[in-house]
Amino acid sequence: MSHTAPPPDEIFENLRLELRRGCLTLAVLAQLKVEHYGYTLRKALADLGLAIDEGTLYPLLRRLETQGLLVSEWREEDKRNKRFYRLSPTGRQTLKQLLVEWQHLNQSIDRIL
Amino acid sequence: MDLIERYLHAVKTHLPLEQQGDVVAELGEDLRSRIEARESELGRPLDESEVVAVLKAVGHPGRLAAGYGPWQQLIGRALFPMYIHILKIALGLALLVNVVVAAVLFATGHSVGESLRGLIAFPFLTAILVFGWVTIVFAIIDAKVGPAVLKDARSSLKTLLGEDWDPRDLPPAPRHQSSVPLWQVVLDLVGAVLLLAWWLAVPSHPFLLFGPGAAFLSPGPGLLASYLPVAMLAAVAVVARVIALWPPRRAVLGLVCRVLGVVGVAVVWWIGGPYIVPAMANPPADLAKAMIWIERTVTVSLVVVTIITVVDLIKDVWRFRRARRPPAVAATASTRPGSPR
Repeated sequence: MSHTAPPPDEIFENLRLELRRGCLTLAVLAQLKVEHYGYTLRKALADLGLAIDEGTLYPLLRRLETQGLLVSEWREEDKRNKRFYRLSPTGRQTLKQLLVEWQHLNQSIDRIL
Repeated sequence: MDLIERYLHAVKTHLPLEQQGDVVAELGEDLRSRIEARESELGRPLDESEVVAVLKAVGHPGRLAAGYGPWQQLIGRALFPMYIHILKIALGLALLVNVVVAAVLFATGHSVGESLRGLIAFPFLTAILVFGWVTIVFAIIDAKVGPAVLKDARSSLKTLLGEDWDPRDLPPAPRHQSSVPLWQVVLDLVGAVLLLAWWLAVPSHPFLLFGPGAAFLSPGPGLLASYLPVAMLAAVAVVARVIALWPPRRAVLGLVCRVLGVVGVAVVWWIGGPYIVPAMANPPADLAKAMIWIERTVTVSLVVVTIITVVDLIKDVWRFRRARRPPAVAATASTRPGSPR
């Protein structure tokens, strides 16, 4: 039975998304060392060159909160209810470990390239 | 801002009930912040086409909502809106075919029972089969073909895939969070009228209650004493359903009808049996023995109906409270579970 390979641009897109997924988690955790609500978090990340859409960010925040890495609270600011997120103690610890891993990987990739 | 409300409502309809409040509140806040930031950049309010551009950049409501659910494991996020769309069409067509078949059977002289057999089996057989086949086909497409190939196959699929959608085509958002769709209110009203009509017709047509057993069964003292209070409660329920045709009190009146249902069952229960007695003065021994079982069956049925009615009422109250509750403003850490993926 013959197997048709997906077009190269689809392969690239899938690999790009895979690569990006882990990086986004790390970036979000790192950015939430300081408290943010969704919009300011997205803006802060975009200003630093990492644009992330709503459909990706908010489910990711929920998942990280469920895993106990983030805590959130609804508060009123400028007469509007906003949900603020920040790292939990477990999140802080996990971020430290992930950053060590990230730096190790980066160095290895640099050497390989 | 009407477009934003419509967009948020469209997202909400794709979300699991327990996530709707939080997700919509958070997303709404994000959209408003985004629009305000753009307005302050431009120094003027955004016009409709600019708001449309913002919403299109956020993405198709179904696609966005798919990111929150656990279900996209089997069918990917890109195909999920189209899957839901096709599933609705397939289920609607299957139901239509069943209705037509039932009508044809009835018109050609078949009994009511035979004619309705397919319709009664619809939720247990046909709907499950349709759901299963559509899901399998989409899971295979997702795994083997890939949405990119599908997307190229026909440009009309782009709309379903969420590429060519327009926020201006979204249905209007209900004005009140607790309101219920009109079709559901009408359906509830029809149900309430039929129930009242049935109950009122029972004394003159015992067949409606006992079926073929009407030849040798009669309402017992328990049922006779329950007749008037239950008829009055059923009439009040009809009035409530009629009032519910006009918003915004639909959900509240739905709850009132549920409470009336619980009260009705409680009244029958409180009055007590025997609910059914033999029609003749000296019943044969076999019928006297059968009456014990009939009375037990009625009692057990009352218990089951009471449990179902109370559970439904609790569920409705919970949903109603949840739909009305704004996201917590107090500074309490949220422990609401997200969507594990």
